[in-house]
Amino acid sequence: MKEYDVIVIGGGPAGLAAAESACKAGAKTAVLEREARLGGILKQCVHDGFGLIRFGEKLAGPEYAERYIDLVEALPVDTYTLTFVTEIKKEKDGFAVTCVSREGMLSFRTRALVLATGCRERTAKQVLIQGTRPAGVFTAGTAQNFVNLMGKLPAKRCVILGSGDIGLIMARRLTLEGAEVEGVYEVKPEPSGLTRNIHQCLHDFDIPLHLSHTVTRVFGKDRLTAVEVAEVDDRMRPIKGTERVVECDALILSVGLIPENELAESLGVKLDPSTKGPECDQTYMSTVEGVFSAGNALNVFDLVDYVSECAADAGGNAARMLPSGECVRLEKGKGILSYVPHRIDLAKPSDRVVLFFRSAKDMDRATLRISADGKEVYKKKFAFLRPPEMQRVEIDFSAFGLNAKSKLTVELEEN
Amino acid sequence: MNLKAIAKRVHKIAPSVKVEEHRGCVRLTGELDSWDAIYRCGVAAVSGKSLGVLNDIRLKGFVEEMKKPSLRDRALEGKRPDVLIVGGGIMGCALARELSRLDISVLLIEKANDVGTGASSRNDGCIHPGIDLHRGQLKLHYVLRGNAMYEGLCKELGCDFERWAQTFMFSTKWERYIIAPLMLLKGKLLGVPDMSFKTPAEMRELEPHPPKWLTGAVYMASAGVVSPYKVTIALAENAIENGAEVSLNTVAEGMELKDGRIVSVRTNRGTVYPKIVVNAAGAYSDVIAEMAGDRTFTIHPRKGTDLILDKKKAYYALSSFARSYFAPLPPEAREESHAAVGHTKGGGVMRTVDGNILVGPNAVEQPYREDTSTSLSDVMSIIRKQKVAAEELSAADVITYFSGVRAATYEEDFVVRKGIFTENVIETAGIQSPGITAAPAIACDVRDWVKEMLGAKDKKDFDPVRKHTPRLAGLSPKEREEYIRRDPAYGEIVCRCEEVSKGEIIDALDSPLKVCTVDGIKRRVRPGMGRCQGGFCSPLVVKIIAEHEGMREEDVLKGDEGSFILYGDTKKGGEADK
Amino acid sequence: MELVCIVCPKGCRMSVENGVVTGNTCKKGEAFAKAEETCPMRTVCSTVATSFPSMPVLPVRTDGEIPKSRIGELMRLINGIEVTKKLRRGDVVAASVVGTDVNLIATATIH
Repeated sequence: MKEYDVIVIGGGPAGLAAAESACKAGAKTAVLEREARLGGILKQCVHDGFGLIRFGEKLAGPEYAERYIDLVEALPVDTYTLTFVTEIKKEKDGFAVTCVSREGMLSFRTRALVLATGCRERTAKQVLIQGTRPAGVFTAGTAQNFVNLMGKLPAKRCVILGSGDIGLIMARRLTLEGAEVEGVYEVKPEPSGLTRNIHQCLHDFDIPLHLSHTVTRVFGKDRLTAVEVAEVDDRMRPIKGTERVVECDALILSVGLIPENELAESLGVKLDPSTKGPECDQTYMSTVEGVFSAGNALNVFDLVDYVSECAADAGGNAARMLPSGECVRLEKGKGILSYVPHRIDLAKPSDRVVLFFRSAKDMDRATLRISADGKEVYKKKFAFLRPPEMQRVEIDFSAFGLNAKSKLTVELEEN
Repeated sequence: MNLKAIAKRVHKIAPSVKVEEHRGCVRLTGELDSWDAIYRCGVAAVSGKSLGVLNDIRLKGFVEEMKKPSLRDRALEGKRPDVLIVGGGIMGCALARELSRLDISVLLIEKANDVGTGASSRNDGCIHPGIDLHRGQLKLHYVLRGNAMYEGLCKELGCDFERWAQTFMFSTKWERYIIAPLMLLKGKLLGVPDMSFKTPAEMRELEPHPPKWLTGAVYMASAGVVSPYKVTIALAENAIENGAEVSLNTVAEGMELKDGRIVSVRTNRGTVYPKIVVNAAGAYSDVIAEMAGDRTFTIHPRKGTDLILDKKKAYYALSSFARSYFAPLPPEAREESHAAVGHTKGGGVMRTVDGNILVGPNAVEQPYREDTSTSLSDVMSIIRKQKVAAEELSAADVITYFSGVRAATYEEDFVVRKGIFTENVIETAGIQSPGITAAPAIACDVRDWVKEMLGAKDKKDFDPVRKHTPRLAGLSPKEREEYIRRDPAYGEIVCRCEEVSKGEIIDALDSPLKVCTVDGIKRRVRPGMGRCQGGFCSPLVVKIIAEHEGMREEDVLKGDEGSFILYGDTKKGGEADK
Repeated sequence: MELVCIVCPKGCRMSVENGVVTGNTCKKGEAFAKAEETCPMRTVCSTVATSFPSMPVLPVRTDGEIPKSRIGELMRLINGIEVTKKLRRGDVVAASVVGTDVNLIATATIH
């Protein structure tokens, strides 16, 4: 039985940042990682664009990960790789964590937990694609693993469904590696990924983007031979008569990420249906005392820099374990798709709360407004907002004169 | 038989069809342009007095080529097995195991790259109580016997088996007061054990989430559940351990008959000269029977689709339940009309032995024997329909779905018999639902026939217990620790959703029926069966297979021949050559 | 020319007309827009083969931008490389590629 102050589950960018700051805040810290190496999904994200905020440089994913690994390894943080958490039990003043590893079953005890378990990809069946079950249907992350870690080509001529960032990145990546990307199909009328990725991944390589289109069916008994694409109506249902069969050998899906919160749920952590991550206060503590959430498990971010920032806060707070007090819920007003945190704990510092949010739709010139008991207490203007692009603002909630009965709302208004 | 009456019924549907008697069967010939009409003609031709229906009406413009391995070698050339089993579904594998109790040589051929890839892996794994069957049916006879065998069988094979009840739930008062007693009576007459009536209150004790409309239920405690493909594979493995031979990627292409006996069977891997041929060819069992000169039936493929839900939704059902179909469904739940509704119990909601909830199946008649593609309308209609029973069910719960093709005969019964026109053939054909339940019992009868026909003796050293590694995630930490101490690979988790270790995957690669494909490993030890559907683990599984087998990653297949996953290296000057 | 800035994640929507840039919110954006009009430049990321089975490919990137028109040429170079030394992150894999003073560097350490 090993004892820690903070155990971080997951050794990706969130877990590493959380461990670094927990350790720096004086906590005896461990990272449990189920893969053979630290770094998480960044290991396979060989494209650049990471670290502009955190390091002031445009780094490739593995570089960003290794920088954090170096930071953590320079600290007295215990890292356990190929260590898979099978069970967490809430005990008095902490948690018992059971793991399976090559060394056998490992038992830990910790005062606080940071769940930095990342996210998984939605699959073909989850977007109701029909037809046969051939080889050649990959999620973008799986295809990325094959290309960037294994050095193997999973497609020669493919169709990509979904304009999420990984899908766009893979469109460019596969093209550079000599495969043909017939087109990217997006069920929504707007792209799901960052605008810059549409530009540098698709436009640069003349890859067509078909908005309001989806893949309905795959063909091929053994290896995929073709897919059926169709236009969709305003409720995203395929329109009869618009079907078209596209010959290709692979279908690559970038149709959304789902935070992995199975461990959180096993602890009774309440999830927010819009972020699919834990509901948390401004210290990233979930609804279960001592359980913190960080990174894409909390909320799918589009920038790793923000993942690191939020995870570092979560890790530091897990180390400090400030006593909880009365909370004010931040209610969702109009125009907002999702946001964290979900509540302000009045007993914890609230003068520098980072609010991450996404707009519910594309907006040109919008105002973010927070009101307490019907009175506007904060506003900020934005030139344009798009749901795929998460926004970050710092807000001093301590200045709003909140009490346990306050009604706090966050909303977006187009002007 | 009254051919005139049959012809009248058939001609009402399609006047152009020729109706005749052929060796005691009713034969239909001609050409129609609707499969539905062909199917209905077949149904109309059923007569208790004929040997069966030979529905040879062609569907205009329709061709379905049988999926065959391209492999051609002489690996089996000149073999003289005592028994040749054609087909490696649960029927063929149960036969192989039963026959391996005898002191004879057994060869099973299967055209796919693994056993149990057809209907045997594409069903709900329900061990039926038999209530929906009728007296005099072979189905009933074998289901009652097979059901009783399962517990012991699974213990020997090391497969999970749960005797989770099946419940037939009523939504109206009249069903509760009229249908329920009739069902209990029927059960008594059929010999279905352990049936009882449950009030809604009693039901809530057993199923915490019953539908709101529940007025009462008939509870069948003799039902059970298994993983149908795991049982199929385990049967094959134990057969091999006991000396049977399984030849995959092997298809029967023809038979030479002489004086009412099969002399030889031509395969893509050479000609074999068996003493007895057992037909266990599932959806193709009528084709094999025809080849053997012994056909008295026709398979009309009937597709069914099942949905698998995330384990998080396991609370929907602790066992298996279905809404009684006597009262009409609410309008929003009704299916689009399909020719063959009525030949399924209407599907239901059940917990699989692996802890997922499965909903379905439906039933759709189709001309294709091997088309297991799914359609949105089927998936959505199953959700609509089963939402009546599992009221919280939504499309977002679904992690995957699959279709299978039932090998139904027009008589809607199994064909289990010795050859009528050919001396040395045994038919185990038309084995559709509840074939998983029945197969072990059928295999026992066939074993006895073979024993008698060959004058064979029991094998002294037959070992019914299959050697296997238990599912480590299901063990206690202490037991698990012991495995890891023996081999650290048991402590290396490859599939996070299903908690499968590298050691278990390697054991599957070292098993008696070695199938080095991603699907083969998935069926054996479950990596990729969870909510991420292999997104995270499939590259790892490919790598483990490649490493263990000394292959290149691009040579690892998903399933059958041609199902390659990778095209070779991205680098090194275009060696990517597929 | 209408374009979206790819310098940082903000993705400013800009337009450039005869070297005059509007819609940018920083200097870098202006420079990017001007280059897009005359000679678009890109950082290229990929992988190169290694001789180490534990890491069959090594991620690499250019340590500066190269003309977009030379990406194809660079990829041909990249595809022919095989790394046989245990390189570390930041090590130069190929110096002064495709006639520029830009180097191809490793973005990970071979383990």
